[in-house]
Amino acid sequence: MPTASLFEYVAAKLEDPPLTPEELEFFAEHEKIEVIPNFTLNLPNGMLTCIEGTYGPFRPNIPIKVPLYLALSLYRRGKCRIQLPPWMAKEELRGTLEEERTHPQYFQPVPQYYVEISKLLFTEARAVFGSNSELCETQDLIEELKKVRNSKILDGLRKVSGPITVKLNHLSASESNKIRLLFESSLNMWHQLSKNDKEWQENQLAGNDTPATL
Amino acid sequence: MTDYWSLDAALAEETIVPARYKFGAYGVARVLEPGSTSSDLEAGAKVDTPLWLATALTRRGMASLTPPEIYLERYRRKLDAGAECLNLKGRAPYFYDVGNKCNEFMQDSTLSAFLSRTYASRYRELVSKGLSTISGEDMLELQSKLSLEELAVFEGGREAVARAEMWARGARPRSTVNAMPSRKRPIHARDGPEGREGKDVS
Repeated sequence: MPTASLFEYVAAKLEDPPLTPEELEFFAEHEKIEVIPNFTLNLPNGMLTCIEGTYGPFRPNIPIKVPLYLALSLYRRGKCRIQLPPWMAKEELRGTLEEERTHPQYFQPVPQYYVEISKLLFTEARAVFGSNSELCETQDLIEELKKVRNSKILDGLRKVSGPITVKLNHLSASESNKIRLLFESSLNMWHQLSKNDKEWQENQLAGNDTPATL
Repeated sequence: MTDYWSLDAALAEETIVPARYKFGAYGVARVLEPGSTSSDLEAGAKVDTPLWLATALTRRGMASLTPPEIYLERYRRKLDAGAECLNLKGRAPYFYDVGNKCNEFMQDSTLSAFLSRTYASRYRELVSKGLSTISGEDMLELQSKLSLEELAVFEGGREAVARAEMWARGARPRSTVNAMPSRKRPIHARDGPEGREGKDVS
């Protein structure tokens, strides 16, 4: 049986990675966030019908849930106030950080796009946070969370020593994107190395050790 | 034998492997062994041949190959002791590939276990250095020791993390624009570097 070259499995697609962080940001903009508009939409029922769903009714001072991209473009035009998502309150973040630190074996459930959403809010909607110090505190907390989770991921990856399945639950989108190429390629390499071993052993047992013709 | 179109597989098969020819060969002695006196190989000669030739001959029963030096006892002991320290890029850039191919023809059941063990210990270093963002001497030192397959894995991890960091800082990846400076025209005034970029002088 001809053996395949390892490069077929490990061919790192560096020039066009399967997912770039910009694309992840695009996906993150679909997440729903709560918003308080200050206008009335002149459409039947005040509802806005988009391809992916209907949002509304847009009445002043009544909070509604809209996707993040819509919230950000309304905010840029000064037509709404964005509410902080509940998981981003400082106490919540502190609690999650504590939990992460006390349980080194597994990850805490975290919104799938927390990195992207927090970055978008920090850069485009600074007024969401009460004051400058609040903003900095929240930024610091999120950085801490990222670092703790990152080190947990690295520890877990280091323990991999063969073509086994690894359990990494509650991993956010950006974290899984970072390890995607490396993890996939190294698992492929493991698989190929152990496959060769098995093939050779089977060949020996079956007794067809004599070189086959090309 | 392997994927016909894979460039790296073809390069891997260029590795020299000592082979013992059962039958002689006419006219190729000068090619395979530049210092030989006659232009024919005698039967039973031990010649260094590239892997692609050696495996093709072995399949037809016309030669027998032995693995290159790096898979033998001496190096195995070295690698078992401290796998991360050995410089694979210099000695055997296609370490795993060649090892896998030799595995078919050899009576050595420990070769692939040995390969897996080596990979296991080097992998740990790969992961810790590959996914951290601290570049510098450490990383360069590691990179120069990796075989080409390991390098592909390492680069994959490093690229992903670098991209994510650049995105988080708000920077854009530098596109590979062909920055050909256009010749200065004395008549028109240039409108700054934006106007100059990418303009071809046709």
